[in-house]
Amino acid sequence: MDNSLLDIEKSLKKLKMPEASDTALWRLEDLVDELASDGVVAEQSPQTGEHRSGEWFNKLQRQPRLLFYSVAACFLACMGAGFYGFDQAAQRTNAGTEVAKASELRMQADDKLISSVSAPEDVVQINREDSASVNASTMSMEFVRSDTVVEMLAVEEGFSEDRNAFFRVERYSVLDSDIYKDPTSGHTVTLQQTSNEERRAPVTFF
Amino acid sequence: MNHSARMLSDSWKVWLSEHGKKLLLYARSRCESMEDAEDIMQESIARLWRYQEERAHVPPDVPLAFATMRHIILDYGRKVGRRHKNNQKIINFTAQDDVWTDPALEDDEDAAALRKELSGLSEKLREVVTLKIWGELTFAEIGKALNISQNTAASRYRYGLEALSQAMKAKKLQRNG
Repeated sequence: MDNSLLDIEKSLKKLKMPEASDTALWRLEDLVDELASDGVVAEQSPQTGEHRSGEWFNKLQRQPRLLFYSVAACFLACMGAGFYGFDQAAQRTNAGTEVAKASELRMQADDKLISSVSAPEDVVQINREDSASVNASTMSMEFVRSDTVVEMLAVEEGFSEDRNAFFRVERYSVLDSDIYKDPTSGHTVTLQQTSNEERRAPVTFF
Repeated sequence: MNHSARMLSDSWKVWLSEHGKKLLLYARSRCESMEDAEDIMQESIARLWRYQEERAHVPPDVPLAFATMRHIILDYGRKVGRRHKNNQKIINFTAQDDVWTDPALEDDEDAAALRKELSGLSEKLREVVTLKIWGELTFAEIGKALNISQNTAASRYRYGLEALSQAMKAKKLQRNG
């Protein structure tokens, strides 16, 4: 080091530094006594008495990333919940005016699968080949994705000799917004038939 | 307090009497007030105590103490607010009555200028200068405390002194016309 740097070093050493007060050192000695006696110290500010660090807080202090990840996780969870809520609200708002989509539609008669249509369009037109001709007292339709349960508008084509109905599902659409309130519960809806004689048949949605 | 606890306590008190002021000064140089520095010092001691548990609570090495304190100071800095701290954390020698009473220096104006220039050093350089001059650490110990190599510590120290030297020369030239 040249002389000028040595001079600066000397000058710096001559700068008088703020001295630690006796009180501060006594506090430190008290702290050491406390630690040595029971190893437990109430980590409080000697100035304000405010509690500064518990175990959890210490962990966060040592690992600030932990705090970051926690906040990020909460944020993402809130966003997810928000989007889900908006989606649900949008569906409710649109109920009755917009046909819902189902990934799969199953028709059952007396708990017996009689027809299954995958990925139906907004309005399902089940062909005659898919129509059911069964002896059944009840007919049900299950939309596999329960959140897309919709009400069915069906057409009864005719009656067999033993008065068992032929059902042909012509289309389905959202008619009852209440279904959305509890899509997992069963609902009975009115079937509209093609014949002149109007009749009610129980149709259960699962 | 039993005998062993008393012995332990005494060993820490000896350690504190030897290094406490340096540590406190370092904390003071990095925070806004002596009260904050004392808080940081206390927290550092408590944390060092826990660190030393596996070593039967013997007093720690000085570089470890500085390193621990440095981490706590960084947390403190985050709490206070980085921008605000950048304006304030520079060695607080500006409490003039406390720190500028040394008659040994021939020229008060030079000393005041030196303090100002020291405050203006970058944090990296100032930290090393502080630890070397007032912490009385070797470059190897500074390297250990700051997690840098010994050569880096020495280089930063030299750069710091050079910056101060040049600044002081410029001041003198300016003063003498």
